Amino acid sequence: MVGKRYVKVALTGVPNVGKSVIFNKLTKGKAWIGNWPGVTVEKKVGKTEINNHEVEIIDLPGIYGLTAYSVDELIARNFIVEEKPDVVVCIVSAINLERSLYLAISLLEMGANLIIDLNMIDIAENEGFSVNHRKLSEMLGTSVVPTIAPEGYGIEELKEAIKEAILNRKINLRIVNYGRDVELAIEKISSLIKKLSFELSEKYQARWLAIKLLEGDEDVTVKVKRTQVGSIILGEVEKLRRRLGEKLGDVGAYIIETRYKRASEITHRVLERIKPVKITITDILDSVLTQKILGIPIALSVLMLLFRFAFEVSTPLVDAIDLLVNVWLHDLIAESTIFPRWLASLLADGVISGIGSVLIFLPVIAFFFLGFAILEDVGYMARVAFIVDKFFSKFRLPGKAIIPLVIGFGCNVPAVMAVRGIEDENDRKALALVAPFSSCNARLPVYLVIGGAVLGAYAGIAIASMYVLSIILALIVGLILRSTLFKGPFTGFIIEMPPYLTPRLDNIAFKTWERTKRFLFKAGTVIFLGVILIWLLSVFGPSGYLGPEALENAALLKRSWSGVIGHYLSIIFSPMGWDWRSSTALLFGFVAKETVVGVMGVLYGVGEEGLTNVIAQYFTPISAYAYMIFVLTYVPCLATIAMIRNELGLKYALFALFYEIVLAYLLALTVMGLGHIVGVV
Amino acid sequence: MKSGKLFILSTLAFILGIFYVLAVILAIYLWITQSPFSSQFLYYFVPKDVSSVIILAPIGLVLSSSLYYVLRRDVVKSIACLLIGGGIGTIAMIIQTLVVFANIVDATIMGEKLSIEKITVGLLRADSSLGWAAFLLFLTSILLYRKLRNTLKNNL
Ligand SMILES: Nc1nc2c(ncn2[C@@H]2O[C@H](COP(=O)(O)OP(=O)(O)O)[C@@H](O)[C@H]2O)c(=O)[nH]1
Repeated sequence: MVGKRYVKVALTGVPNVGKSVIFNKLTKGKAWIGNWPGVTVEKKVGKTEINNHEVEIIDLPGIYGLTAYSVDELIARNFIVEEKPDVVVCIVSAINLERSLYLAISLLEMGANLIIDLNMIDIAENEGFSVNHRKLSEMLGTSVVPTIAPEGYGIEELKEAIKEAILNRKINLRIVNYGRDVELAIEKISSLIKKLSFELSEKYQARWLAIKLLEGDEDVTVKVKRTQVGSIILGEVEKLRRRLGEKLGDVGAYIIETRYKRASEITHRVLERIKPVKITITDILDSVLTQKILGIPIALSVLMLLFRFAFEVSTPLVDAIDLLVNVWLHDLIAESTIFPRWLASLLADGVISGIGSVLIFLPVIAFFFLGFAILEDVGYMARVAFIVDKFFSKFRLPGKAIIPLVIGFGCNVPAVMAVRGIEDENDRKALALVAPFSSCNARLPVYLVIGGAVLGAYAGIAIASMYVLSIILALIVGLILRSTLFKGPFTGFIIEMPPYLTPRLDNIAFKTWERTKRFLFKAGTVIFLGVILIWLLSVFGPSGYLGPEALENAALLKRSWSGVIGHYLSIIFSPMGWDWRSSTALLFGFVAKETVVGVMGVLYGVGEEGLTNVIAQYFTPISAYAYMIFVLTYVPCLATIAMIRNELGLKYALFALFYEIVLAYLLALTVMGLGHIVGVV
Repeated sequence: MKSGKLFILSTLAFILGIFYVLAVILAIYLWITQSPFSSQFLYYFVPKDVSSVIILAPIGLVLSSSLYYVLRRDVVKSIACLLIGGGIGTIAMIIQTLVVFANIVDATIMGEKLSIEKITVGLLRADSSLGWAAFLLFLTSILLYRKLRNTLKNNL
């Protein structure tokens, strides 16, 4: 190991143990983000130098155990068994020791060269207990470093321990004793593996394979089956499992239980009470916040405050950007005489508008993420997930699904991004596809204009109904997806309820920046390209180049490709009675919903201000309401679709596109139908 | 723990809670009937964006519940209600103040005339005016919480 230049250190831990903070302290923020091969889970890698070794630190996904059940766990596990990092640091939470130790034990069984980072000792102390780290180190046979991550306490010692572990590899495969019978079986299988398959025993720890095979782990079983001697080994495993089963019942369950017992035993031996238990602020607040009758209204109130903060406090920035980019810069370029007219228009109406339409979202998004990071950091979002969990489980969605759905009301792009926090793969996929139903900020202007113009006194209720409908749609479609495409057991993960903490400024700033940055680049490029595409479709038509005047002239725009496509769309939309203008606007809304209103203004030739009067002539109340529902449901926007592609791959992105359009059409049609039946036309 | 102080505080919270609920009921009533904000009181006190009721109603509910829990001798929940109701009320007040501030900055950027009237309405509406009372309540209930914290869990 010593002569090697790149040393690999993997960082693992259950969610919320402080892994990101430790990762940042170790790498001093120098990290890059990629994806794990084959899947779309984020891979974060950083570099640091320890004792003249260039050390690569790999941030593995936060996990509870190492089953083959969820993608995250599979990734972490495959990385450790296959890439064999030189050192694995398992971050263990002093306030949630048993859970953490189960993971640590599983890592030891894999043959990892393990170091334990015992984090959050300050919180434990506040709660009146401490963890005897020397005893823990003795029992696990690894070094244990106590840390308080945000203060940087213990980080130097952690580096020291990593250095020590690089030089001095230690493993402790026999951390759990499974009892005579099972141990004998493990022994038998592992010696069989060693005897028969060089390939397997070279790559994996034979004992670990044997345990996993007895446990009935799917992934390992498949891997063994693929080898030449697979059938012999699996035959033997089957025989032993059956024999053990007669005595122990379900062997897999027995093994997992024994491992849990070991974790619990170690926990009891190392926990020491230093003060009598006092009631904590967490106890007090949770007595009301996690209660149903008051908890749910409180959650609504807090989330609504988050939205006010994001939307209303950010207005000056939004307007300033609008003024600066969309008016000042736009006019400067559009009216300049340096460029030929087409180029000036491409730059002003295409490029600058593209940049403007992205930037204009930025303040709202950044404010939203800031508020959200605070709620998350304080520990409140875990409570929100907890109180909706039971209700959501009726739709086979986990309580945590509330997080992407809430973010979606701000913007759908980060909502899709937020599904990464969901443990179960089926949940995650289903959610990525339904989160875009959350009625985002960009849809609101459409409701306001159409509803305000046509529905009069009912506009408020109609608009409110869009928000209710969006949640109903998300839940119902979620249930359908979870019972068909993403079947699989509903696990209902236990929600971790960390104690409330004072939010840390650096942590919040980091999270906000990280998410905002990702929105800017991911959504930015797509919206930008979309706006340019729309420009091209508008200045060209079947008869050739129409010139940038088309953007301001309805008669010309009618002859452009956008107008032509809109015309065909209006045939499809004829049951709803939408004319070519409102249909074309929908086409533009495909790129970004907030353009719908502006485009309507151009097409009806009145500008956004006069729009209300004109729209009232072209829509009936029912066709207007159908239009609002269509806008709610059909494709969130190009950037969201791109984000779905990013998370789930092209196949699902296209699927999302398709089913949302179909669903939107059907819903709009239903509304029209109902309208006719009831007699409102 | 002596509950005399707690009783007084929860009674005050109850009254404050009623005011929040009043603002909510008026806001909904005026919105549904589309009636004008005819009196000075209505004009300044009731929020004109009806979505604010989602913020205000729970605050009123939680504040009033404090008294309910005192009467049921549930000290922990009662203090929790004071802290949470007072806390969210305070945050709502801060955010409302920020919104008013943002509107001022916005008007300056857009070169519009500053409307003193609009600012006054913003600063006097329920979120903000009641929020100051909630803030006081919050500060006082922190003192009570400090005492409670020294109580052992099993003594409750
Ligand atoms: N008091 C205290 N807070 C911590 C400690 N370690 C992490 N935290 C906080 O715990 C929260 C979760 O940490 P984070 O790194 O996001 O968790 P991750 O899910 O493991 O990446 C953050 O608010 C941290 O600031 C610690 O040792 N002491």
